[in-house]
Amino acid sequence: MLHFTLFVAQLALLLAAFKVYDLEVPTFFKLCEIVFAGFAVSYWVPFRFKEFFLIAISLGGACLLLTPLVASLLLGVGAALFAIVSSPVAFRWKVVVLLCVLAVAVYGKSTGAFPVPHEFWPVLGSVFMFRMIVYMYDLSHAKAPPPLKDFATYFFILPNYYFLLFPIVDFQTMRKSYFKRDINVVAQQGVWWIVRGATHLLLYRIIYQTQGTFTPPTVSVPIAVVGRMLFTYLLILRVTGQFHIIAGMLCLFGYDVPEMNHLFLLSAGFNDFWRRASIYWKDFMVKVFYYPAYFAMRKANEHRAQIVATAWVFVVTWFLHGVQFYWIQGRFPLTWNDALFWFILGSFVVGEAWYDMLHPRPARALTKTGWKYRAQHAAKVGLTIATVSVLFSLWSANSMEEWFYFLRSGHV
Amino acid sequence: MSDRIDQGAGNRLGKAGTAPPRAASVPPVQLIVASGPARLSKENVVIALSLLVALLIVDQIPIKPGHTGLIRRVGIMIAQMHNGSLNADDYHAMAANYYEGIEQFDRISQDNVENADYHLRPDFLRYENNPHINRPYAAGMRTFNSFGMQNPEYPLLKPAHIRRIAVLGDSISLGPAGHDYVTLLEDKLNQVALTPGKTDGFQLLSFAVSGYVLLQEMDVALEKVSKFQPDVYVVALTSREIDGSRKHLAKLVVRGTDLKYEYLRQVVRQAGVKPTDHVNTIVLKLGPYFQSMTTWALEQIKKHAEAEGAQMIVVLLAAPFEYSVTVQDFDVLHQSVDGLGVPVIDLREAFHGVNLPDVEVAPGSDIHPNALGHKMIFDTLYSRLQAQPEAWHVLAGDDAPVPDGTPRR
Repeated sequence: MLHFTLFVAQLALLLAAFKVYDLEVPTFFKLCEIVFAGFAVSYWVPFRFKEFFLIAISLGGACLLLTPLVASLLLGVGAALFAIVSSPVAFRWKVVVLLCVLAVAVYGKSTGAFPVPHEFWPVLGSVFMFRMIVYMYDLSHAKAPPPLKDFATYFFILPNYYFLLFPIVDFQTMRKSYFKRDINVVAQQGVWWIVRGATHLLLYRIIYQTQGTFTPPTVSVPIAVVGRMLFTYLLILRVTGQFHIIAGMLCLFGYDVPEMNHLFLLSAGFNDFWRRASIYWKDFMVKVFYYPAYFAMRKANEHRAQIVATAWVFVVTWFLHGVQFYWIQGRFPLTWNDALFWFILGSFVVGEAWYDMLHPRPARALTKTGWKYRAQHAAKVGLTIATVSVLFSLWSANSMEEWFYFLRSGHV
Repeated sequence: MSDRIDQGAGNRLGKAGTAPPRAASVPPVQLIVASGPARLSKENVVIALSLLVALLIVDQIPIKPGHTGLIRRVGIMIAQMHNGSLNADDYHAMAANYYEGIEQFDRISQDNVENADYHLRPDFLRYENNPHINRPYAAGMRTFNSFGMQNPEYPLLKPAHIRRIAVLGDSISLGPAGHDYVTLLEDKLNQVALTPGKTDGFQLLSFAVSGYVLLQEMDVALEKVSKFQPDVYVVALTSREIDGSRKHLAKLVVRGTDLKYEYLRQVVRQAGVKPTDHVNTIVLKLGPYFQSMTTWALEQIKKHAEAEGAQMIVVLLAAPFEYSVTVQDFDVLHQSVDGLGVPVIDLREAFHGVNLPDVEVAPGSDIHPNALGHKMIFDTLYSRLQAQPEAWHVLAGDDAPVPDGTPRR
């Protein structure tokens, strides 16, 4: 009872803070009310009914957070997709049918030919776009299709109806993480992550409102350029804040999922940044794209397999980010600065991997201490922040000309 | 945090007395699942509670205007944490993007229904209102007469003893028909400003077109408005003007459309604009010319009005934006309008302290003022007119009684 009382106190204070600071938009507050109230009930529900209860509030939440029509369409599409993936036909035919469904959806979204609200498409894409890839990958290795309960809990995740930019939760990880540890520990982890996420969102607001002051003639051009680059990088706090809140909400219902990112601002190198900045995306890439490519090539040449597989991951990342942009924003971004961002970042990661292969570090290097090591580490962190800031500034410009103009004038 | 490979069912603790679930089938590749020690709970209960209470307490700290130094900086940060609105740059981008049509020049708006209100032109104006529109929209009715204007079917020839006021503006000047501030102003003038034998009535002609900027309004003033013989030209500028005219010019350059006015051709040359530049790059290059271009356009309207024997007023028209953005934008616009020698009516206070969703057509998606929003615009405009007798007399005529009863000029 003490644990539950502490949870209620923390969640009540969270709601109060969200209200006082008017965090996000009113729909977000509604989502939090549903999630926190759902947790308070779910905490006492017998274990064998917990996931069914979660499915019920998720489906009910869909009707409250989306319009009834969009929610109904989403559930209808979900039911159809479940029928496809759990049908007795061969796996390759399931993939073919799913690709046909995708083609129809792209046609409908691009032409507006179907009588569905335009807000349906971003939700559809956000829910099924990437998680279906993971699901099908796991299905290809499964003895039997997962039951409807597993399908429903994986795809119809309550926070996803509000957060359209959603982390790619791994299906197996989600299943295996369910009540893996004491619920009180996991739920407290969830509360802590939601608090962390809220802090990120508040810091984001400060950064967002402050960045405009770094404009000539208020500051000199070099300071404007450096300041704006750094602030553009730090605007990622909005995404990290939202992702922490999402992970925290999953933890409240017993899913002991991993952190979404881990102290990425302290990355000492590009491989380190890639591993820390978006752990779920990295895991998705490793599982579905890196390992298949690597294992297919490693017999010929181990080193080449690693390099090519890493490069392949960045090509896929560029493409899938564009797909995500298409579903949520309505267009696939084919710009030089977008391609250049992923190319440069990928080159740095590949380059570091190549260097590490050619100069493997002895085991004792992993436990180095002392001021010299700390200074070297700090320099690496600083260089990584500087480089990533430049890359994010390039990425956020509308065109290369605009970015060059920004570098010359400090104006955005 | 310690990492471990999850081997399946593991040590799953559910509610007491219940069995842990079966492990799902495991693929060849097992992902590393991070977990943390149980003692983490006590520490972060304290930290979480403390942080949340601190956030709520910090919000209550009274920050007064006289505070300086660290306390003032803390006050600014608290205000910023409260402020979830777009900043000025993004407000302008959002206002501009409403009419971008996803970078397709042949769509004015992202709203397909609204696109039926206009037809395209291959020239400087790019598009204009269609005649005979009468359709409902979220805030009321959108009604254009046979001239494509949202006002009653007034004849071209001005009747005797009628004072005509031409209003040039964008969609903020186009509200729900019959409930927009232009109609409200016309009704009020016909109530309080009549001078029997001299001014028997007022007709306000709305030349407002959604998405128009000052350069387009100038072209309308020079090419179309004279036919109606107005006595006053009212130019309603909004925050969109901060980059709107530059964007209009950029689109003309990119499309290869003739810029029509030699001054604008000169500006484009001096700014080093190339037809192959991206629209946003052109907008940036034209930045240093914003003030001179705005002043030039307003001067063209003023000279034209004077040549027609008419007068001019500039209205800085607020939209349901964050107040700080409106203030910042209007202060910039004042640099262009204050030296013109015409009355300037600043309506920045129209939505100050108002709950913005209450005055928007569709909060979150269409932030144009609704009927209530237009009433607020009109109320603010009327109170400013009462406080600025010179502006009132330009609008209503020298002999018009000033609403608060002060002696005539």
